Amino acid sequence: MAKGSSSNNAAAVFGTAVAIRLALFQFPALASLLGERVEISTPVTSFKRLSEGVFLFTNGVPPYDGGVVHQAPLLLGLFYPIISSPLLVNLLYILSDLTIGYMLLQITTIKDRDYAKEKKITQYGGKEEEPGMSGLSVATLYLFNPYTIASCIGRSTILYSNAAVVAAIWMGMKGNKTLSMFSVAAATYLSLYPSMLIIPVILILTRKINENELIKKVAIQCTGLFAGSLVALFALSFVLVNSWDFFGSVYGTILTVSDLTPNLGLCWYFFIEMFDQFRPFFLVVFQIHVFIFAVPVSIKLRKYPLFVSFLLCAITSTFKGYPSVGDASLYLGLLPLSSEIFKYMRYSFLVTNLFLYSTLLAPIFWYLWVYVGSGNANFFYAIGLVYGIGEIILMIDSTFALLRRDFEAQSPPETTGQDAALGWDREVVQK
Amino acid sequence: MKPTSILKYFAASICIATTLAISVTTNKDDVEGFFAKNKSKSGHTNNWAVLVCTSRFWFNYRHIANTLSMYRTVKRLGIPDSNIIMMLADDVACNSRNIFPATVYNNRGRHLDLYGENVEVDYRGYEVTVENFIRLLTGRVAKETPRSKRLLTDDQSNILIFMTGHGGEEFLKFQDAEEISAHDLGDAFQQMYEKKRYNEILFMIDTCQANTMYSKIHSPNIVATGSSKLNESSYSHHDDPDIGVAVIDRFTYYVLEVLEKVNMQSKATLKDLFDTYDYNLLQSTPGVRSDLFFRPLDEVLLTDFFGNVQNVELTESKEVNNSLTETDPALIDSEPMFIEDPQAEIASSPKQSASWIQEQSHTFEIGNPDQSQTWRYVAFAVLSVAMGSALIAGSSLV
Repeated sequence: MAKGSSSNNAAAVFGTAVAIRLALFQFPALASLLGERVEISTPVTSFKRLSEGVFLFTNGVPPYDGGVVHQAPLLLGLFYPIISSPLLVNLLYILSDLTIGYMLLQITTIKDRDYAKEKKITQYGGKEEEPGMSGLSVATLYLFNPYTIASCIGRSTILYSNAAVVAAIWMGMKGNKTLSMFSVAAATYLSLYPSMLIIPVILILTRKINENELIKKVAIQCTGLFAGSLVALFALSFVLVNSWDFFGSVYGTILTVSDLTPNLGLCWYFFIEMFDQFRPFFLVVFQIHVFIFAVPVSIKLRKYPLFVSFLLCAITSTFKGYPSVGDASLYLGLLPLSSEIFKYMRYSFLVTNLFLYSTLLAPIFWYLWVYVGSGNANFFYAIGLVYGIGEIILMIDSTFALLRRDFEAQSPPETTGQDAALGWDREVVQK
Repeated sequence: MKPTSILKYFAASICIATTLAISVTTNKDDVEGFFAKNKSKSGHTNNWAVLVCTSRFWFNYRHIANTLSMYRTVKRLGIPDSNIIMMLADDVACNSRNIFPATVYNNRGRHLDLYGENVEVDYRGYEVTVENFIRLLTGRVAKETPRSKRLLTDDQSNILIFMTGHGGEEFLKFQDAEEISAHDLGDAFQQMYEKKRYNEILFMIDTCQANTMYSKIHSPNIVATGSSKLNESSYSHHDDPDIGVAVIDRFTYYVLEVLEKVNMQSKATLKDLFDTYDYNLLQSTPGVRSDLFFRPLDEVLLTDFFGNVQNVELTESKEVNNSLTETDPALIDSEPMFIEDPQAEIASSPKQSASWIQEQSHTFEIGNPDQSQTWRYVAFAVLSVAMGSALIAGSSLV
């Protein structure tokens, strides 16, 4: 990155991000267009449904009685005072985006501090490994990611769940148990799947501790804090909407995928096509498939909890019931936290192309299917599959890169002698 | 046993006993009344019409016109095409001798083109046979018969059967080739009765010696009327000098005169219709056979046969509304919102103003957005602030 006063650079980055978002929000047609695209807003994150819910709540009608609102009650409470002013709503979204960027910056700063104290990895040629991306680069990558901007302008509420996830990681890096567990609880409360992240956040909190007993104690404390925060959030929701209906509407919809609006995911097509008697079986399989990676991944990669959080977010985004590009913006923002692995990744060109290809073709195939009628659902679902393949190859490639880096850390590459002369897989390291 | 369980068993048995008592002693009228909303007093829930013209050739123009006039009438009064089976030779409108091609008129003034648009003929040309007619009535049609050619009635259907053509003593000529006898007709109706294919039938026939045709009917709930008695001919009414043939028969003409004044809300009865029969006008003796019909004819509405059962009451004007609300309490809610004459509003009865106020309360309020919601939100905000501060405090402690 350019040398210069870092605060100037930060101001430039954040200022440009705000400017871009504000400029795009000046076109309300763009906001509603993006807000209606199925790749950006899903039944559980749609702003239109949220405003419907706020309207019902304002008029004293229980918002979860109809099948429209599938968002957590505290989101209703958050938007209740400001929904009538579009300016305030847009500002809230921009602020949340900036907060995530700022938190990523802080996480990277803390991580660099930790990294500076560690033993460095020796690369080929006897060089020490260079440090990864700076915090500002990470924040820039997140803030100027087209997926992030699209999610922000489309006002998808996944932004708040993402903010809670990143806040959990940040608080974990700072060592603040209460707030990090509260953030995980808030993310779980908003979209259920981040409950898996309790494991990597506990790993982050205990990354400096070596005694097992102490780790266990911290883990039990954190679990208690998580449970307590979750219960407090549920109680607060009950106070707001005065009924427990929201459980079925919010978490029931997330778990049973009851609304089959097409999206970039894998589930909707299955559930449209299959017979009803197989539906519970497939539901269980799909939901287990999301949660089952949490423990094995955390066990294997326990030395790299930041990467574990990236991987679990990527798994969530690929296999959850209602994925959107907002989920992609989250894990694509978390990936540069492990930027040292980029030089080991082998398929970056392929992954980039898959993402570009699916992002550009998805609206085209949607148009062909829904408006022109010369395509059908298979077109759109195929593009969703391509998108999923891109995500999966990214996950596999980054895991390979991490493990490769880990291996090289433990047995550094030979720079002289017999094995070096044999040309042992040098191309990977030479960048 | 514990007193609470005794109490529970007692309560349960009381509940079961009351339910049984209610079910046993319920008035049959209450049960019937539950269905009465959709049933008229005659007990029918749908209407069908079978309109048959048994003649062909150009000089029997008037028989086609008779049938098409009846078709227009029943359609106007609400029976849909799906419930009308029309059998016509249909060789008149596009006949090469018709100087007004693709038209059929029943009047010298040629005011209304009966054939113009929206006419559905189900059996046309040589399909109008005795066998098809009897199969239609009894429901014993071939498997491949389309739905539009079937009489899909049930035991709550009122059927109007109108036949016109050339007839004689206890027979009716079909298409100059065969004939149907009164015995066949009576047997067909008996089959319909046994298969529960009708609730009530009005059989109307306009031919020579028409009354003989219904003399052999022996099934209940059939009222029949014919245009002339034994040894009498039925006459045509007038002819159109431009078309060159007679365009309407007398009996049908005078029946139509009565029916033209009938609309969907009319309370005119069969007795009113039969009272208009006049030998001087018809030049034949029309007959009515009602011994098989169990309701008195002055209680049978014309719309029971010529119109359709409907759950929507049309209001044309405020005056019509007033006369109807006196008889039918269900119509009170359909008070029009827009009152044209302010004098009339002031002078109206308190009942009307009460219903006006009742209409007012159906505004767009879907709940009551009053203080309770903001109170709830304030409580929520206070609690969330409290939780936030607890978190901050807790984070420094733990």
